[in-house]
Amino acid sequence: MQKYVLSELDSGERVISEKVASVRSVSLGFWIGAGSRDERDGRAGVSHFIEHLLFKGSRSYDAQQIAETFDAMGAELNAATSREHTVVYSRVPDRHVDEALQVMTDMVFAPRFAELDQEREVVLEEIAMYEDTPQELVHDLFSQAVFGSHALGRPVIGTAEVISTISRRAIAGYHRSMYTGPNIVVSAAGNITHERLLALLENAERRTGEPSRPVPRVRRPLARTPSPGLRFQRKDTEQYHLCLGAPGISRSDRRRFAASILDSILGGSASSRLFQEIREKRGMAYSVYSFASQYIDTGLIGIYVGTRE
Amino acid sequence: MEQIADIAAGNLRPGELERAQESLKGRIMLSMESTSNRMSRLGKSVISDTELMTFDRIFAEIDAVDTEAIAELATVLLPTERLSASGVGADENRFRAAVARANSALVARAAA
Repeated sequence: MQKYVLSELDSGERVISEKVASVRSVSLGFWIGAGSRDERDGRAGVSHFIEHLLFKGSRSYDAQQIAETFDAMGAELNAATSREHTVVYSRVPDRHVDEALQVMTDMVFAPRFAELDQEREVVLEEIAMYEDTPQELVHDLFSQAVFGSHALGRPVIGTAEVISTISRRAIAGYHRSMYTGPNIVVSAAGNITHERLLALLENAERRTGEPSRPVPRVRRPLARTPSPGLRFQRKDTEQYHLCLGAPGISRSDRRRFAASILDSILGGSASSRLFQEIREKRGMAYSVYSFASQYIDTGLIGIYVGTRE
Repeated sequence: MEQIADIAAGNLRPGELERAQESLKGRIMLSMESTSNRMSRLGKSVISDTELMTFDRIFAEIDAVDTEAIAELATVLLPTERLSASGVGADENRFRAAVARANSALVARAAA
């Protein structure tokens, strides 16, 4: 049973937490409804770029202070970007929650967008790394094959053209329009009460300044699924990497439990059909599995195999 | 593809469904021992406006899945003509030949 409390701040931010009294730590997450599907083509990758830049300094802390603060707590601080959201998260010893929330609030709401050109190079290296990782690249190609020119078909990391040229103004503008109160959720689980979390957050936001005023935003739904596509990238690899599949079901679809079980039977584990048939019986592959992702209005379901044959 | 067709035809093996159901419930239970995962579940469901179900309800939903539901889903989601494909490798022709075995229309259309 998960006993949580959900409330809303004046700024429109929603705060949800669960007290777990048996631990001495708190897991914290700032969730922002900004992902690659929210970007225009000319801004492809800006959500993920901002995720990097949040660590490069904020109004009250520079990059080194951010890193040192969390290291000195023995805490983890990390972030991730997906097609539909960005999250900055950490797990900290309970006596450091106040400080962790202050720094995270400042990172999320008041980034300096410092060291822009240096961080561009880091993300360009990350893009190049994906290009060199065929088992990852084939999944990005698969999204393109399934969703075509819809933003869901684009890789989260974006394109080298956009990352190498996007201006600070465009980045700050995107941040202003997406990192708004109603588009942010703070979640926590661990040794903290909801009341204390609210008090600490309100205190941290008084120092940083509340998130900017909400601007109405539109997330383009997948109105019509494009017809099935085929994408190939030639690389001198030893193996062929292959994905095969189709649009799946959405996060709220009632059939999602059946879909998880289908995934599990087909290729989700070592006792699954694909693993048993392709690897264990035929020895045709080292890596073979099925996958299923869910988005707000659609999903992806498919199988992957890497093989020399 | 044989395996997908077999599942779509409703041919689950003895114990296969039960094992998958128990596996899923077990994985959820194990993952919920981590506060990071609990925090993620809460945050993700609120930011994406999806219902936060109790674990009792989730487990009941999982237990309620039957062979017909799995077969129907495989039939609806993964029929041959719905399949897209992607590949990375040395020779595009070999890739296309392999995909053609699963969905020949897709390859024919791409070649046209």
